[in-house]
Amino acid sequence: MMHQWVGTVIVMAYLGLASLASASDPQRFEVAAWVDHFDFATVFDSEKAEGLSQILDHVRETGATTILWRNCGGSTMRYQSRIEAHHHGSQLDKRRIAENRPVYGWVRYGETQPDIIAEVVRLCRQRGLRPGIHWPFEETHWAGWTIGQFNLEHPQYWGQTAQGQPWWGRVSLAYPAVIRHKLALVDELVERGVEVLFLDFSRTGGWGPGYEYVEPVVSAYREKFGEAPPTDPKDLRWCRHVSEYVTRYLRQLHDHLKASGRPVELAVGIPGIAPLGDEPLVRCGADWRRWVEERLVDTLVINHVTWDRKAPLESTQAAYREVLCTVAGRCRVWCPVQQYNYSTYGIPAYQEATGKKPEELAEALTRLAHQAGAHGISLECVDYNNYSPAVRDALRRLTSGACRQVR
Amino acid sequence: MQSSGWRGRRRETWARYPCVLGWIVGLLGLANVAVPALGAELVQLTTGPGNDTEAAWSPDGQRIVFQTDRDGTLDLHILDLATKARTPLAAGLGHAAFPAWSPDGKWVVYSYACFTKTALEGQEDGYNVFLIPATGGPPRRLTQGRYRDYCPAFLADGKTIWFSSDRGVKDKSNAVSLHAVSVDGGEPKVVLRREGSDRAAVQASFSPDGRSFAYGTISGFRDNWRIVLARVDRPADGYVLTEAQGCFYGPRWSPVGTVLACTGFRLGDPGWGVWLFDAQTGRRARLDSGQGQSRSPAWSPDGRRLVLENNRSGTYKLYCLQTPELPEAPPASTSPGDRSQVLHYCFAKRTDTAIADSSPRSNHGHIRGTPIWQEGAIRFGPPGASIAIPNAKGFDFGNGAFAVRAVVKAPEQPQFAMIAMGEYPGNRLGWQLYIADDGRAWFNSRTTELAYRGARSDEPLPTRRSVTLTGIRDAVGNARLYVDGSLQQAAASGALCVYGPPVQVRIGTQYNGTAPLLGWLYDIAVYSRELSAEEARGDSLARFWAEQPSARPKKP
Repeated sequence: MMHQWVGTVIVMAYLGLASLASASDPQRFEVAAWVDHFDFATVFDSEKAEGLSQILDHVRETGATTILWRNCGGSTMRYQSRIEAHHHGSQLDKRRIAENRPVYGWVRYGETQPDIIAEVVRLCRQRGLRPGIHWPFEETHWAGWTIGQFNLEHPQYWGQTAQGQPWWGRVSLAYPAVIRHKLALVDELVERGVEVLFLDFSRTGGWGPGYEYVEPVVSAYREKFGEAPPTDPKDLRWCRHVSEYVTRYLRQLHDHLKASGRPVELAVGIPGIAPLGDEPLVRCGADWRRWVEERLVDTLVINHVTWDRKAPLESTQAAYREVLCTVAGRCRVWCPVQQYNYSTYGIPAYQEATGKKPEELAEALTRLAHQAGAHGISLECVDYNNYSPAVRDALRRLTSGACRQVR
Repeated sequence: MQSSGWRGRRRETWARYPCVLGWIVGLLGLANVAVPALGAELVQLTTGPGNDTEAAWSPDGQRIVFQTDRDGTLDLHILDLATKARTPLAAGLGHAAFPAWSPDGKWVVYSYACFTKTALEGQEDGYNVFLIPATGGPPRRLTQGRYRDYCPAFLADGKTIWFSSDRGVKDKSNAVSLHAVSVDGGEPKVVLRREGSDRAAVQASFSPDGRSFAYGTISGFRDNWRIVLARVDRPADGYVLTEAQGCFYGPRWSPVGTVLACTGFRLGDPGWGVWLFDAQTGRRARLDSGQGQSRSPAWSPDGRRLVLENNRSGTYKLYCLQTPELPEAPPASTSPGDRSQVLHYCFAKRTDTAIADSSPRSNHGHIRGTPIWQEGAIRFGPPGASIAIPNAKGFDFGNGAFAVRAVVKAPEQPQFAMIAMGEYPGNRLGWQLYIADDGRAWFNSRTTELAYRGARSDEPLPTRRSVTLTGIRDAVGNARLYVDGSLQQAAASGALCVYGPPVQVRIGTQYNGTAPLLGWLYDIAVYSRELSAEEARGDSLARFWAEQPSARPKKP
């Protein structure tokens, strides 16, 4: 018993020291853990400060140096937002079909005291972790109860299909009022002291260029090309046109963060980024090469790469190198050690293809990222024990030892 | 705990809104024809902090109950229209929302929840239905449990309350169904079940005679809210009144007539507005409220005024207005003598061996076997029954648009049933309009490589009334399906198959005589062009009411 207690103290002290070192060391190889506290709701009391603390301590066992805390589900916020709804608010708006699962459907993050984001920032700093936000590029998390108040109140900005059907799941970035709203949400996060803002283009909540047939975007297309836009939303010229609006938003976001006077790192996550192709453009209007070229982003997060099942690790390594070569030092790059497997390219898929244990794969993927010259790894997402104790140990040992510094 | 009664009495002055007059009614018939503006005076009813919403007019016309968040959580207040006094009815901790009056005006029913624990600590109850005397007094709980029970409404008998709820959902989906509970309490019973994620039936509102009702529905997170009409005794056989190209919810049936008011938005609108629909004819109008958004209309008992919420002042406040009349306007339909029509059979009159085509193409059909004729429809029940059209003319659509519109009543027992199909050289299942064995309708065309491209109905078809199905392959290769003029969500693209002269066009069965339509076919027409949504709707609304004369809404 005494032995276990001493062991725990040593691990905690070690974690604390490692984390404190990371916060002050720019060449530290980052371990960015994505944290969706909603997914911890049945384990820890995610509506209380004590529960938030327990979540962070669990996540920290991965060797995390940066926490990317989820601020929302769709466009319902998980803190005391002054300008957006939180998901329990869906119970009071008859337009939303409320989430009703026990615990999950009844948490009230918008009413939690103290404010969740402010508290997490405080707890991160206390633990020497960089506090960041994981903000999906979505306004509905594939469910009606995640539609926010801004969308509900502004049908005139809703997305629209080529067939003329409006959709409340997304308001178009073509409207200045929409951008202003998003930047106001950014202000709420910056006010709370977040140091990293991570926009995740994997989570689009069902949005894509197919919902951008709104009047300003269609008119601009006609003006530019002298013809009506194609009705096929995967048409590359159309997708590139839609991406202009996403890029414009990123420029404004970049400038807005710079103007805030606080050093907030802007990271973007791109799914299916390599082998290089047009998938991100077609899928979510993400012209990431342009963003890198214009130096709009500080960090490029590889959500996943499309590796070859016949040569999983070799092809992963080639894909990482391809991205790093394209970036050519113009921003930082984090590579995935992804436990989630919705992409079918996460650790479970590697396991199937290689027969290796998860901890072996976590170690191998971390080494690949490190050797390729990446600036860190990203863990999507650290839920309760989904990165097993052995994986957490392996990651922590490696990133505080052989892979502690960026190459 | 929730408090009640007439404590904290505060007075408010009616504020006549100065810039009245911009009440323009953009009246739109089914063919989207704009009509002249009608002036109406907008009167502000409430002032002060917070949002005042979800108003309901008392049966005696003297009071309005509404929800307000002026003190933080949602409370219920009553506005006395004669004295202008506003009085809390249900206030304090927790949220009290969605109030509605009993027919005798003595009670207010509403949804209420109060949480004192976190979700992990455990919560016994969610939002439940409560009843409170309209003059104040202790509220009485009617439902319990961790559900979302909301938007309650009294039936005309004053003894039963319908409400929306997520009770009884399967597989953790977040569906919302209509339930009923007695004013004496007891276990609620399901009235109209919706299954699956983001499928809902919300806010029932009853016709003056109590036989029909309207509600808002949505079928998936990519869908838009639509208004459905139904009979109280057959709630599952509803008619979708509004199209998915707009978003319409929260219907309120006029206490004296056939007109519904609801909140709505259609592309081109400046925001949410109040829409009026004639449940009998489908005629519609948008009330242009000028500044701000207008929502949640509710009728005065004489049907001459509406109370609604508008946010022109920055928060939602209550306003009222005189209700304009909907002008008479005939619904649009396909014109007789349409040269694009290549086939039109009406089965109102029985014939024995041949069926006359009233289209300009004279594609008269041969009746095979001995189909059953009944009540103006044909059924291809006995084996061998079908209609064949030899040397069908006008069905060589090339790569252009075409449409198939059929009025059918689906078979009681869901089974694969072919309504109509065209067979082409090397393309045996060129296009088909059919009912699948899950009761859903499908329309399909083909790609240039002859791969299937189909559109499916959102829900299984009702079996106790006819529906108008319209399948369209448009000029750019999209396959779409309309049910009673309402576009269904599951569509397909890439249907660019080139159609030459057909081998055969068959009605009532598959090309080889299998999959007979064991439901009823009333009318079928084929066009060598797209049909508009209004054309796809045809006379389906009139049919809906004609098939249930006892429930047909009447003008006062």
